[in-house]
Amino acid sequence: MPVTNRVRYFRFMRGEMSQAALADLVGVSRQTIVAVEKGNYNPSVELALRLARTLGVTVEALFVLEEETP
Amino acid sequence: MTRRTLIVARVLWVAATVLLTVGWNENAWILLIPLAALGPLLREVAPAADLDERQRLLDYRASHWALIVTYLLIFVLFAHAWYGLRHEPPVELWLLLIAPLIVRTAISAAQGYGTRKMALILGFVTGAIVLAFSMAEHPFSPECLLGAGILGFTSLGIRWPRVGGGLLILAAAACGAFLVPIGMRNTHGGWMQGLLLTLALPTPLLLAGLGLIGPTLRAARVPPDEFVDLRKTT
Repeated sequence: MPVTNRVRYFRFMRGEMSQAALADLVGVSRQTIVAVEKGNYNPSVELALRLARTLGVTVEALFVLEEETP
Repeated sequence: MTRRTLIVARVLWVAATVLLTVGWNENAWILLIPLAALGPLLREVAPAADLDERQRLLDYRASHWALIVTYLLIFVLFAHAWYGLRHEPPVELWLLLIAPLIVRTAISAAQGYGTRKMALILGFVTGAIVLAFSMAEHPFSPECLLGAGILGFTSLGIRWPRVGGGLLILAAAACGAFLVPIGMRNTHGGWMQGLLLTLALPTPLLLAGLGLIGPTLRAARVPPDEFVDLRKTT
């Protein structure tokens, strides 16, 4: 099941935080933030928790598991 | 060490090997053997410090392409030996063929079983082989003590990994100090064969010892569980 994320949305909600700033705060490269936002890379639980904590939201708000439609 | 440093070091190593092969000795490509064997090992044991989890995944995938390119090169070298030079490929080329396979198999097994269990398996298998060969040649001779000792040290590692691992490393050092000079004097010109034969026993012992001690050192660095007291009281 595909996972969608709202990293970009919450990043802008946090004072238009740049990708580089978010990357520095969670300790990854900016390219990894780009890949996560584009949905090209699903982060580990650890990185998902760090992203959620940095953006001040829950993991469930940040990452949504799209249920398959029957 | 950063990823850029590692890439530059690897490129320089390969370039130096190519230059030496072209300009000095056509067998200088054996310098690729440590790169092919140690590259995947270093990638797993000590990944570049600046890599995040996605970059490590990409690096791991890139290693598959590196392996494919390595084997294409090996096939070219085998074809050159068989059809160009019309002689059997040297033992070093066979070593280049099997070294990455052995390293990758060991890494995959270690990831599946875990480092400690893999080290125990390695110790028991090495001890059993040494004991079996000793018994076959000279039953119940002092040589059998070496195999029995390896089995005993590995058994100690089940309960006390640091003690067993330390004894295995000491055994590897003792075997190396004893066997390597003998092997190097009796190689009849084939220094590579002599080196391989004399390292055949100390190397697995050293790896088994490090495999037993390594996880205990990593566990010692893990910060204490801050909720352990809460769980005890609830």
